[in-house]
Amino acid sequence: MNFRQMAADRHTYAADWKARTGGKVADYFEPYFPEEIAYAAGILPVRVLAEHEPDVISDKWIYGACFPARDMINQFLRGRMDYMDGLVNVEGCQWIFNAYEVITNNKPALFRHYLFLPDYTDSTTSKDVLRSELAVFRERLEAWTGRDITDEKLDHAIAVYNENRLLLRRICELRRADRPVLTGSEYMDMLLANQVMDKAEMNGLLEQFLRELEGRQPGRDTIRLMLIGSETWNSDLERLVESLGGNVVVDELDNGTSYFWNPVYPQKDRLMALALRYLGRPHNPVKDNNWRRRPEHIFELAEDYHVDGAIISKQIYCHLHGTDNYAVWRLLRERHIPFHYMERDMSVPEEETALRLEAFLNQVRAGATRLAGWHRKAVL
Amino acid sequence: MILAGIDMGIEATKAVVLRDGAIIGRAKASTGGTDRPIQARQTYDAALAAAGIAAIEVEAVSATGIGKYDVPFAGRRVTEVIAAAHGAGHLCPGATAVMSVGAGETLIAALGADRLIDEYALSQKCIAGVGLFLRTMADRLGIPLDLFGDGEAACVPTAVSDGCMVFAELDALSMLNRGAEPQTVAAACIRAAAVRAANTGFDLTVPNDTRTVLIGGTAKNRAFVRALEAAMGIAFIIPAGAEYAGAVGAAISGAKGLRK
Amino acid sequence: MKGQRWETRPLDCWQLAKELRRSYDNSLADSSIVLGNGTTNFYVDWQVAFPAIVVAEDNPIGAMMAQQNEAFARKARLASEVRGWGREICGYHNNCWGAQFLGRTADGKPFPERQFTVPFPCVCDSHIKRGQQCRDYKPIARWTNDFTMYIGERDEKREEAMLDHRNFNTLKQLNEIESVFGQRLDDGKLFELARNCRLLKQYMTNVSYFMTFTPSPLSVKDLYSFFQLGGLAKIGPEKAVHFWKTLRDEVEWRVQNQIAAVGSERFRWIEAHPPSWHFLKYYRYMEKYGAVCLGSQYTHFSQSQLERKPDGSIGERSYPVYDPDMELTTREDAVRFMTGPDARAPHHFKIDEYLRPYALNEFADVFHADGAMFGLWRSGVGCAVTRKEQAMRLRQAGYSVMCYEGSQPGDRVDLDEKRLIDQLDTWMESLGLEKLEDV
Repeated sequence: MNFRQMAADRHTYAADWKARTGGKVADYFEPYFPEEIAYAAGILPVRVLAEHEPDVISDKWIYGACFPARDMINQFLRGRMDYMDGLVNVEGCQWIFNAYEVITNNKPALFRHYLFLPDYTDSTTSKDVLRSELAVFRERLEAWTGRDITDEKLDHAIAVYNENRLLLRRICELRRADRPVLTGSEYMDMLLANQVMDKAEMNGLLEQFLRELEGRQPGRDTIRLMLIGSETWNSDLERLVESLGGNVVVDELDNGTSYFWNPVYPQKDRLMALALRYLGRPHNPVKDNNWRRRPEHIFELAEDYHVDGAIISKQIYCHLHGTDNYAVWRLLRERHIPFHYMERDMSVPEEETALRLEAFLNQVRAGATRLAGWHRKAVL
Repeated sequence: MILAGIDMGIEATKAVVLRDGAIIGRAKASTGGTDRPIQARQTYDAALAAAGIAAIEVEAVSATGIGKYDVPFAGRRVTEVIAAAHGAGHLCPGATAVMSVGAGETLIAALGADRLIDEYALSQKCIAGVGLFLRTMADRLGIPLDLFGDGEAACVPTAVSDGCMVFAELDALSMLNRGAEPQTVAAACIRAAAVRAANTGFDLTVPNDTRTVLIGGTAKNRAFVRALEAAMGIAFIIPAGAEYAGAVGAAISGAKGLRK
Repeated sequence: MKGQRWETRPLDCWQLAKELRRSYDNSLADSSIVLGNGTTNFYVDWQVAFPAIVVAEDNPIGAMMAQQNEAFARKARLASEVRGWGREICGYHNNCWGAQFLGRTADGKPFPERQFTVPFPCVCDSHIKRGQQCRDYKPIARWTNDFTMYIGERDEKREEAMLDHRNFNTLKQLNEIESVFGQRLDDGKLFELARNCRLLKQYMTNVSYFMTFTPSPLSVKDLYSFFQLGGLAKIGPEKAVHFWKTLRDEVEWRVQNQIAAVGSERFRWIEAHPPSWHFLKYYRYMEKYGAVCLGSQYTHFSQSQLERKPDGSIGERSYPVYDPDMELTTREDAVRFMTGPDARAPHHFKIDEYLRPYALNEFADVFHADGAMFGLWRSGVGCAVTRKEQAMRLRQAGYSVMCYEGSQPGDRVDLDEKRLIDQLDTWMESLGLEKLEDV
């Protein structure tokens, strides 16, 4: 099953899907996007995947942004996404917001919507304001598509998405084994394909994939790694790790486990059920800013998947991940989890990155662990 | 009227002597790191020697470039954009824009009808060092700078990061270590550098047309010029002695003042 | 003065400002106060209503550190970096929290550790995360609020839940601070602050309005000086109101008598946000060209908002951010007053990204600017967002715009001062302006 090709063919797939179903395609950036509501309106929600392509466009519009945001502008303004009907921004980071603004200002025909999802996710009133926003969003989609988003349609969408999450979770669980039957790159390719395809169709493929995996022999004995940090849009880093004798067995990425970790618990008030789901998912740095949950969640994953070490890969110019680094590094150091931190843009300089990761893997092989805490004297 | 101009860039110092607007002598030398005032003087003296005149005959000496404050004998200092505008207009009458991609800085200016400059843009940090990057990579790959990125091996499609020349260098070295041909790596570097430089160009709101003059040391590299033209969608006019255009412009500024 | 066109004289208000400044005790290390990190409210500085609470924002502290002691600021940033902070993060709050890690301030005193955090709710990513640094370091009390927003025309119905969310969390914050620290919030004082706020806003708006005149009676340098006094916690609400009224009256007189901030004013320019604080002398440098800076969205929109009315006149922006006649009898009333009826207040210039690229066009128009200068801050995400596009929109509208990369809020050496001066010369020369001393 070539998930990598499916993700690469996403533009063709979306255009085909439109022709087949008569539906609309709406892109989104942040995995906080309440896809169920769009799906219930007969819309195909597609995550914008950043790439690396020579970019003579974005510098004119944006300064100091992370490279994914720049690349997204580049893609849109070059017309790569002209088959797309709408673009939704769920409150996230400012670089993506700026990209959203530039794109929609340049493509006025796009349906566009800004959905406020509180950064303060765990206030008593957060669910109420998000529910209100979801109600507004539903109305807007109904007006745009001319279709009523009934409770029945929402129930169906929630069921499809919950099934999708469950399948992904089951596949992810297989990576807890000592010698997982799938590699980190396979898993990430699958996730990326999942984020650009119709979930109902994808569920069929995932079931098939799961059966295939359950029939596989155990994989190689490798160094078990966790990938933490900025969102990803390809599996380059995972493949590089595999070439060096490691395997990413779990991640704490916004587009990774955090994307599918928790289901919607159906309740009579469907919008409230969705609000609670999105507010209750594992949070990225933008949303993890009152009750600090992210560090402990990282540790739980590391424990559950008994990782040997972690790679923190941060997009340069990401203020949010950069600010969270302190808490994450501190946790990993205190819990004696070796980690390697790297900054990157949309390209991965293979040799240089391989050198760093090789050194890290050698360190882990030798059983080295970080000392508790750190020496302040080295800083002064 | 005899005027002189010194353009002290990061890499190279250029000096010209003009008599009634015609170049009668010029010289170029590596700027070096420490003895800039001495280098400026030596280069100027070389230009005077080439012109066959003595310093006392020169009515005005003006300096431009990043090292213009290190030219103690200059009576006037001219910013690089102004010097480029004057230089382009002088070397290519009828030019409507000038673009300079140098060792350190990239600039572009739309020349005005009623005033010297209608609009201009300068490189930001992520575009800095295009020329230096190309020279460094040429040295590393063992390819003469004027042939860098040219030839058959250069046609292999490949890319390095074009977000920043530092990132590009890392990617380029990766490619080399994986066995890519030097000219293939060179071509990727050229394309990345061109993309970076083009980004400055696109900051202008006035449209470019075909009367855009390209100056600066990188104009000597055919592959870079082709790549920049492809990235910007324009065909440049490259005057003879393009790398001296800044010095010419500085010299002219000495006489003309600031208004056309 | 060469090129002088108008009379110029120092402000009489300076004397009052200096007296008020002397009365302000700068110490954050007073052990009798409970020190918090963050900000209170744009309109009602509620810390004043507590007996001994001070809320200090990390940004100004970091800015002062960079300006006064760059060597220490770099040590602080290094202390942050080795603990994981990205180098490209807001340098101001990097400075402040790096000093926390070092355990001391620039003058060697112990770093005044915060006992609670109420981070500044803002769309700027760095602002959202700011409040965490002291809380991640040691467990302290923390509260959060949201900056609610959406795109497009105002939708009051949509805003109901947003306002309830903000109001509830502010009310919760105030009540819990009381119980956690055992300090009673004086509601009477809170109501008085709210009443004073209306007057302050009015006077600040008047001052902004007077700067739309030619010649401008003030330059942005003056406004930055007065910012220090704007904090009610420092000088008290009555003094703040008195000062701004006095300033307003004097500025009005200056306009009536054509007293200029820059006597040779012939070029008016605007900015977008605060400058590199350690290199404010570029304002003086521009005066050599007869150029006066009228301020930025930060200086004017933070404190007041002006817009061009349909009849062509300039007046206060018409959206209500609070009801000046609102009856205040309960703490909830005061909280609703603080939040206002507009869920996206007060930072319209920051939050509506659709308007933001065009917001400066109106700003330039209202202030009769000739050009604009934008600093591009590599580590200031909230400042850099949409800046390139704003420059483009202004150019399209015929304004001359200069962009430069600066240090704020990063490392001081990020600003190449010589290059900036060169760029200023280029900018002015490209417009046909020479330095007045050279004419």
